[in-house]
Order: sequence, then C-alpha cells, then structure tokens
Amino acid sequence: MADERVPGTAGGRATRRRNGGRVVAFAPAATRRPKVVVTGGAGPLGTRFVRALAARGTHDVVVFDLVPAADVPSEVRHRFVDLNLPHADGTVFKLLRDEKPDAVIHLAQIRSPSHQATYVHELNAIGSLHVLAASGEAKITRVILGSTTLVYGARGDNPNFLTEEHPLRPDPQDRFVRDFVEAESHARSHVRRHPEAKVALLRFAPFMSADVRDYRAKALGVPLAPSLMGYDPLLQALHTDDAVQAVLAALDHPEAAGAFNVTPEGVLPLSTARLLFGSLAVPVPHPLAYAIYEAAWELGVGLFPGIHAHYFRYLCVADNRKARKVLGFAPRKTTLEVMLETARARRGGTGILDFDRIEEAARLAAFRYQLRVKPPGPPAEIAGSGTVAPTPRRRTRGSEPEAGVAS
Amino acid sequence: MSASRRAKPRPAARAEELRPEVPAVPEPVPGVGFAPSLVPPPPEGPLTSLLGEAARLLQKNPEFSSPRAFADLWNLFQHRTRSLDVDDFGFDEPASKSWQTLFEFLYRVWWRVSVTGLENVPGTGRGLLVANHSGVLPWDGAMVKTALRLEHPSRREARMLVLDMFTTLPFLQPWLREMGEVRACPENGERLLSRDELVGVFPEGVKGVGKLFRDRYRLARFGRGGFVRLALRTRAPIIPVSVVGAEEIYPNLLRLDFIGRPLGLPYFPVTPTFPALGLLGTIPLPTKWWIDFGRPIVFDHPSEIAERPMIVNELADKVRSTLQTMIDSRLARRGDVFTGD
Repeated sequence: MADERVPGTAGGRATRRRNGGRVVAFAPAATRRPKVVVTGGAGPLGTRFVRALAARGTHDVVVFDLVPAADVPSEVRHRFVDLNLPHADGTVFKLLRDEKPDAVIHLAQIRSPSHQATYVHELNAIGSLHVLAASGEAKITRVILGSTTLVYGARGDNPNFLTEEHPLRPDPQDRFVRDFVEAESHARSHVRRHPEAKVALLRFAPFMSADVRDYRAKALGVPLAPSLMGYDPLLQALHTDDAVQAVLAALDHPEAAGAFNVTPEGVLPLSTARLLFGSLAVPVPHPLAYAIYEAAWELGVGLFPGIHAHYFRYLCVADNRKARKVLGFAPRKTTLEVMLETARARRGGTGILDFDRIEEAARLAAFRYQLRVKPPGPPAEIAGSGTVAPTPRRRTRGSEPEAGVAS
Repeated sequence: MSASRRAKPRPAARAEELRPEVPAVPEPVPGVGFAPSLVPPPPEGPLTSLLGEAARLLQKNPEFSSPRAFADLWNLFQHRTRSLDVDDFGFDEPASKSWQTLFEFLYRVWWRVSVTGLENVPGTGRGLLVANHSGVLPWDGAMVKTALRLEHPSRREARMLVLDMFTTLPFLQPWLREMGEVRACPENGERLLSRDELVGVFPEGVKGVGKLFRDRYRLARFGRGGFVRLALRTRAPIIPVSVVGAEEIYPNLLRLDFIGRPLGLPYFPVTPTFPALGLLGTIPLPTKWWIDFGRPIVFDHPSEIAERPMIVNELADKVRSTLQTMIDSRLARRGDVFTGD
C-alpha cells in the first residue's frame, strides 16, 4: 500500500501537516488527502476501521482516544482524548481546530452492558454530546455516529423488520440501551442547531466475529444457561468487517444523512444459535428467568441485567434496505455465517458438531438466500403479477407506518 | 437389562472403559482374539449392540463424553426436524412439514374439507387471501394453508398474518414462526407481498374468531381496512376465501371475559364441552367443511387512495359483502352440519 501512495503525502507527519492548511474537499490528491478524525479509534470497531481506512490510503487518519490504535500503520496519528472528563468537549474542539478534519467519525462506545453504568453513560451518551458539540463549534459538516439497532427495543409488537422511521422504544429501565438513545437524541439536536451538518447515524446490529468479545457471543457460549421458556426470537449478528465496510461506505457518501440500519442479511433463531455455540438452555418460566438474570447480574456473574433479557424474548431485527440503497452497503456475511464463525472460534474444537458440514450448509443457505430473497426494491418497481391486469406504475408513497392494521 | 446381562462383560474392564480420561485402552485388533475391552460382540440383541455402539463411539472419540458433547447431543435432538436455513420471517420448511401429518388428518379425515375455486389463486406472484374467521382457535387458517399445500397445482405456501395476541404467547410464538406465520402488521404484509408471496389475512380479527355461536356466519367489522391499504400499496389482487363449517367446531355459547383477561387471553369461551371436560373439551367437533376461493378482486385505484380512510372503508365493505354472499350461498346449499348432505 505504501508504494501506491500519492507523492507528496508520504513524507510523514510534518509534511502532511504543512500541506494540510485549508480544507478543500476536492483538492488534487497530490496536495492533500481528506482527513478523518476517528474518536474511539482504538476500540474494537475503531481499530478495525482505522486499519481498513489506512490500508485504502485515501484519507489521513487521526485517532482520538486514550491509547493509540494497535497494529496500524505509523502514519496514523494519535491524539489523547478522554471523553469521560467533564470538559472533554473543549479538548476535542481544540484538537479539531488544530487538525481541521473533513469528517469526524465517532465510534467510542462500549457495546456491552457494564456494572460501571456511570462510566458507560458518561462515554456512550455524554461522550457523543461532547464530540457533537465540538464538531459543531469547529464547523465540521460531516459526522458519522455509531449506534445500535438495540435502540428500537425488543417488543412483542415490533414488525419483523424495523425500518429507520420506527419509533425508538427500548425498555426505559434498560440503562445500557437508553444511553444509545440519548446519544441519538443529541445527534438530532445537533442537526437542528447546525442545519448544514450531515450527520449519519449508523445503527449496527450486535457485532460478532471470531475475535470480538461481545456480550452476546459470551452469553450464547455459556455452557449451561437459563432461557425464557417458550420464546425463541430471531436474532441478527453483524460481522465486524461488514460494520467497517458500512462506516467506509458512509464516509464515501458525504451527503448521506439520517439513520441507517447496518444489518446483515438473514436471521437465526436463538435456539439455533445456542446449538451452534454448544450452549445447553434450561427453560425457565419467563418471569422467573428475568429474576435469575437480574440476580446473576447483581452477583457479578451475569452478562447483562435482567431487563435486557427482553432481547432474548422478542424480536429486534432491523431492515438494511435504506443502507443498501443510499450507502451502497452490501454485507458479505449472513447472520448464520457470522454466528457460525464466532461459535467455531469460541468453542475451540470441543463438542461433536461437524462444523465443516455445517459451514457447507451455511454457504448453501447463503446462496439459496440470494436466489430466494430478491431484496425488495422501492415500490415503484413492482409491477402487477399473476391474474392482475397490468396496472400503472405506482408512485412513491408516504412512509409513515400505521399501527394496528390488518388485524 | 436382561439383554445387557447376557453380554457378560468383565466388570472391572467396564468401569475403566467408561472413563474417558483413561487412555490405556489398546486398539482392538480385528481377527486376533480381543484386547481388554468390554465392547461386546455385535449380534447380541438390540440393547447390547446399542450399548456396544455407544461404547465404541466413546472409545474412538473421547470428546464425546464432555459436557459440551452432551449439550450438542441434546440440542441436535431438539433440532431433529429443523433446518439451519430459515427465511427472513423464520419460516422453517422442514419443521413445518413435520406437522403435515396432523394437518392432513384433520383436513382429509376429521373435517373432510371440500375445496372449490382453486383456479382463482395465482400459481405465481402475489395475492392477498381474505377469509372469514371463526372457531375460537384459528384452525381455519391452518386448513386454508393445508388446502393450498395439498390441492393447489403449484403447492403454494400461504403466509398467514396472525394476531399479536397469538404471536407473543410463549410456545406459540416460536411454533407459529416455524410454520411460516407472521405477526399481522402493515410492514410485514407489505414485505411479504413485495416478495410475491401469497398472504392470508382474517380482517375480522378477534371479533371473528371469538364470535358467539348465535352470531355464526355473520361477518364482523373488517378491522380498519388495513388489508385494503395493503392491496392498494402492493397492487396485490384480493382473493376472498369463505370457510364454512368452522363456526360449529366449538359452539361458543358464552364468553367469560373476566376469566380470560387476567390470564392475558382476549376471551374465555364456554362451549358445551370446554371448561366442563377440561382438555378433552378442546377437541373440535368433526363438522364438514367447505373452503371456497372466490374470484380475485383487483383495485385499479391509484395507491394514494390508501391515505383516504373513507374510500378505504368503502372498498373494505365491498370485499366484506362479496365474502358474505359467498358464505350465504354455501350455507344455502349445505345440508347437515356434520355430513353436509
């Protein structure tokens, strides 16, 4: 990658800094590459994103984090920022004024429930506020904010595929998810205050991959765990590589603003995920199961508070059509493949499942999936079919969802 | 037990054999005598040979006896009819086919369903089946589905939109999902129809399925016209489906809602047999059924009409009266409830 680098930008930090005076979006690459600040660039997603972006060689990357990102090229610079400090916004603003980036990508979030709820709140909710406030003051027009599909909340009356317009209805007691909702509300206020700002909210489905230790992968890998008797919701799991691709896609479409569901194709029932992870479920009537999860959490052995067990009871699956259409996001791995990869890595060869054969079946399923599920296009492309007389092409319709129809 | 005694294994060797961490089990040499192993010679009766197989399996793969292996075995057992490959809505074809026997029995033997008008259901492409709802438990949906599976030339799989109250109940939620049913909401309906699926709705909803016996075959209000909006937006033809015979399977004499409400049920029916005979009372009466598929109704209106509730309601009422006419004409030709003559 170093050989392909445009001349004039390869001269290390000092050169680039001198070159990067004013921000000119479409300046010749020889003089200046667009600069990107990644807050939380040393985190699990941030590091992967920084690596991918640096490998592409199209942008100058600066990481704002407590520590430098690991295993990244030396040209990726690091500036120390602690978003937990009360005046973090001022610090970030000074650094942004200094760096003058074209885009700020905020990926500093803790994506597993933690006992240090205050810390998580300060980082996930207030940290986003700090970054947005500083970006507004520094007149940064492009902000990409990481969020999660958990913000929709797991509810019995969710549609099978939640679109971006769906109201956010997590359980108000679920502090972990509430912090993400608060961060999103800060983003909305930011857009109100700075109409010129293009803020893209990327709502990622829960991550999984062989090397990411997400609470969901851990929970599914527990050898013996209580389960909510009689419930078996469908789950989504996003490969971290696909998440990185989505952030890159959002960076490549600077005009794309608003929320985007970044989710994989396909769903998997919780029980099948347990089969892959080799976890034995002990069915417990659900009110008791909530209490057991809560007790385990209080005792420090649980992975999430009891209230979060909603996500193992009801659907919270999001639709990625908007991201596909607007961002050109194309997830490479289906939920089944992601779960399989994670399960295989976490098991480390124990158990009796023949993973080679399952993987073959998963590949076949992914292929069949592509054949079977033609991603439904916009309604305008739908023509009449079957016995229907040819009908005029329909126009786009308003997108407000209606409640309680077709009962 | 007697079979295992016949095998006469050496007890000391057995204890050693079943402990997987003892690796000192020499490989049995075929032909030559037998090394200290308690694997019995094969043809000794079914139980011994089964035990022998199990012991041989453990001997070959020590990892089989780990707790993880136990979890795997149990999970695999629970997944014996299921596939890894579910569709977007969780429909699991092999799992749903594993219930086929029951539904076929009900369809052919118990209710002797007669079907007419199958040519009105398109062989490919989208379609919205609109049926009357009856019978306390939604057996009518299952039978419409079975009729299309068994009798339609293209073996179409109808996806029924199911009331919330069923899709959120424990045990019913995963089962309905596996069978291919989907929670009734406009988003789900639109997604299914835009994938050119055949979707079934019961616009009467709870009012229909929990109808009292004296109100039988009188269509209740058709919801809020959601199905019309669905058809307008996706340009799907509406196929009216009249189900006759299902009203009499549980003659619902009385609804004790004060019992049902605290249990989270939308209604609590009292039939001549139900609370009186307990679970036996849930066996439906073997009436004779007719399922008639009517001519498709195609709305040529522009889809903006979907935003005009009064016109939507008018269209819904048109469908409702068509369906009521179909039901009435079938009722007029029907003789006895049980034999149909």
